[in-house]
Amino acid sequence: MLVEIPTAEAALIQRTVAGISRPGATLDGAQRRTVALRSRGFAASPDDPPPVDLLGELVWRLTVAPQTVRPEWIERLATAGIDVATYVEVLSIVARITAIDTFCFAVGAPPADLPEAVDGPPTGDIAPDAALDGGWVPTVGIAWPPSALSLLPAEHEAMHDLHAVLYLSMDEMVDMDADRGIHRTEMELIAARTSHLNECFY
Amino acid sequence: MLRVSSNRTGRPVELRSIVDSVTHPLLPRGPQLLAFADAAVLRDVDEMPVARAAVFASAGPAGVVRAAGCAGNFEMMNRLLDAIGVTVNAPGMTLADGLGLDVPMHLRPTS
Repeated sequence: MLVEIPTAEAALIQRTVAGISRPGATLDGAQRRTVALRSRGFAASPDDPPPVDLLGELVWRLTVAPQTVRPEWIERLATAGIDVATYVEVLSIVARITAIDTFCFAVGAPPADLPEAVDGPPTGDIAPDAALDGGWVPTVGIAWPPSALSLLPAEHEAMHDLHAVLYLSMDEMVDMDADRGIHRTEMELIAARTSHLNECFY
Repeated sequence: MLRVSSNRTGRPVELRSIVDSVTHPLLPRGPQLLAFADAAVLRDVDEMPVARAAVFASAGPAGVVRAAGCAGNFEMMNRLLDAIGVTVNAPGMTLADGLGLDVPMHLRPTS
């Protein structure tokens, strides 16, 4: 049985894959598209050993073993040439492609095609007021879920877009009696189980 | 959020069902939703159609879409939080203790 994807979710999926294939803050469109494709490959074969190249290891770890990330490893990446802005950009791509692929798989739809990369240099758009504030990467304000990608404004906006369409907008988060097909308590049951399966303690 | 929503809306939930597959979550559609989350996150190609049909039967197509959306969204949020080092807060630590979960040192509050 397949379930028709509603207009809002279908548009979100197209915005997400199109955005991944466009230049980002530190990576060009082709690099970003490659990150997404490699992440999909690792997700399909989670028991394969990690790749030997550093960027590949980053994509692999964020895809299949994010609970093993430690601040010392992020520092090692920076020493080897993957700075924290690129780290956050790769994190955004991996996290968002995983989200929409999980959604498509769950409703019985094929994964969305990634469009060809858009030419152009990285934008360099990095939040000037981001700083370390309780997390391992700079954020605008304290490090917590809504600010996770705030170092990079475009990724921050894309994350909130996805969060609002698939789950709830930040404004709707206060409504503990929300009903969007299933009740809020049921939504939180799924959220909690997902986190448990991912060994995420938040 | 699960506890808050449960308490504020009078929908009892057995939190142990999150970590123990044989415990009933108490929510009427809870077993179907948990099986759906398991199949989605584990990318189980055999179980996913079964779990989807079960949620469809109990919550309709809108229920399937939102259940899929929640699983997808938290696949994203889990990665973000693990990768930027957001520590578990005090209520979260209490809940983890209650469920017998051992929060790693690097995620424990520092104060």
